[in-house]
Amino acid sequence: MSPLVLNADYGAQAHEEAGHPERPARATAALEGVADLHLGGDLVVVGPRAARREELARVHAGGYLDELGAFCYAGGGDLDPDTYATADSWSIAVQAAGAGLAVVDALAERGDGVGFVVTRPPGHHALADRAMGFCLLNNIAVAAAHLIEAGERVVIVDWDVHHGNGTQSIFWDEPRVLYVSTHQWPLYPGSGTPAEVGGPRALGRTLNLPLPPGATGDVVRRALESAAPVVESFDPTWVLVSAGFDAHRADPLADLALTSGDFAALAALAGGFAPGPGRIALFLEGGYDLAALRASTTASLSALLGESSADEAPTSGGPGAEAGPAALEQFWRTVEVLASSEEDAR
Amino acid sequence: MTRSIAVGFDGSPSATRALRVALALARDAGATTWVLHARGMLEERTAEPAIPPVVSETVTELGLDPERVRWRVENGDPCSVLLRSVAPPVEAEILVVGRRGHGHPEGLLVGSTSLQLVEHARVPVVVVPPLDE
Repeated sequence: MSPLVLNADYGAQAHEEAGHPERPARATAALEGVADLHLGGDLVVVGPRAARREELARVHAGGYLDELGAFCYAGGGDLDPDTYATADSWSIAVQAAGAGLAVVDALAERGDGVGFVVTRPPGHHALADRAMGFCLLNNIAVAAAHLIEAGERVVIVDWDVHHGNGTQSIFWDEPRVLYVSTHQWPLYPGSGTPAEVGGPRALGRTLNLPLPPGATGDVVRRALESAAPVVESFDPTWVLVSAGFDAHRADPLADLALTSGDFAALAALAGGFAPGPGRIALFLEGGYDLAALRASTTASLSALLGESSADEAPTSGGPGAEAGPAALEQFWRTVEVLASSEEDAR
Repeated sequence: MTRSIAVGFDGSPSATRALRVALALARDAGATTWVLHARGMLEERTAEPAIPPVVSETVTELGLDPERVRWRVENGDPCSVLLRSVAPPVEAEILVVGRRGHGHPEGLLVGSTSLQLVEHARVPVVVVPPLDE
């Protein structure tokens, strides 16, 4: 069995707003999900570390970092109707971003294992210069930028129910990162159509697979399976997963119909994209039903660790069976059209 | 000639002031006004809001043709929704947004829709200050 390389302990309890669904109990539920794996000596906990400014500045504007820090130190408040920051949120967010760096570095050094980063606040909506959607710093983007700086090629698989607009935007024109997202559509944040395929230097490096409300696990699996040729031709050296568990049927913020068994299947698919051991890490994003979050964490990690431990069966029969393949078709058409107009412009 | 003006509206006093400015601009230009409400992750689970009475009342008060004022609810944060409105179907040529009053860190780009819009918009932005300035 592969070891699980975990980083979670950076005191994120102080990032909390009364009544907000993005709350400290989420991290506890995810860690309970890890405990349910009974890993014993196969659990490797890496120590906390803060992301350094230069590591954050690879994906975030310097002015934004300064102002977010100042906003928090002044006491924090609401950054938009969804997103809050407390006086402690800056140091917590910097630790969350650092947790991802610590995990990928530990995996690289070990050369084996599966990484899991319990990041709060989550990150995939955070833009280069703007907090939104509960997210302050884009944790997975900070880790991916760290890897590409070291010469790696990173595929980011984002199965959170919401489109990861921040991650997409940060790597829009970056050919060394492939961003693949399955998400409910329509839904917040409103981006994530198949026609969004990447910037001129990175055409085809963004692949969006939007799915209708009610979509079951077979639909999401089929969508992600359809992405396999794109991933294979990209030839990644690392796989990072924006592992939100809010596509679970019990989640209060969305309407997909997955179970923990479906997340196990998605994790196995993402694991299949990794070129070898020690090259995949999951980053916690959304997931607001605590029991679903706990069970889905266990199921996903167990699938990647070579065991199967899902307490719910995979689902099938929901709407959108053709949504994934249709999105892929539109993706290829758009890439082709944009590539030929680029050619004409030259 | 300006054909389409978009204004962000969240029901706040600053948004209501911005609405008045947008409607007055649209009336003078003969443009359509799109009143855009950004629905965030938390609000998404509630029923889609209908056109607020204050919008209809202001349209009547300013003597605009109600057919030239459109109410639209979009998923997203306020800044992204306004930035996206330059694309169809809104095709906004001017964006109008209210600026919050004292007590908010308006000198900071973080948390400020108006400053973010000015930073990123590809069309002119009208920022309407609060009454207390």
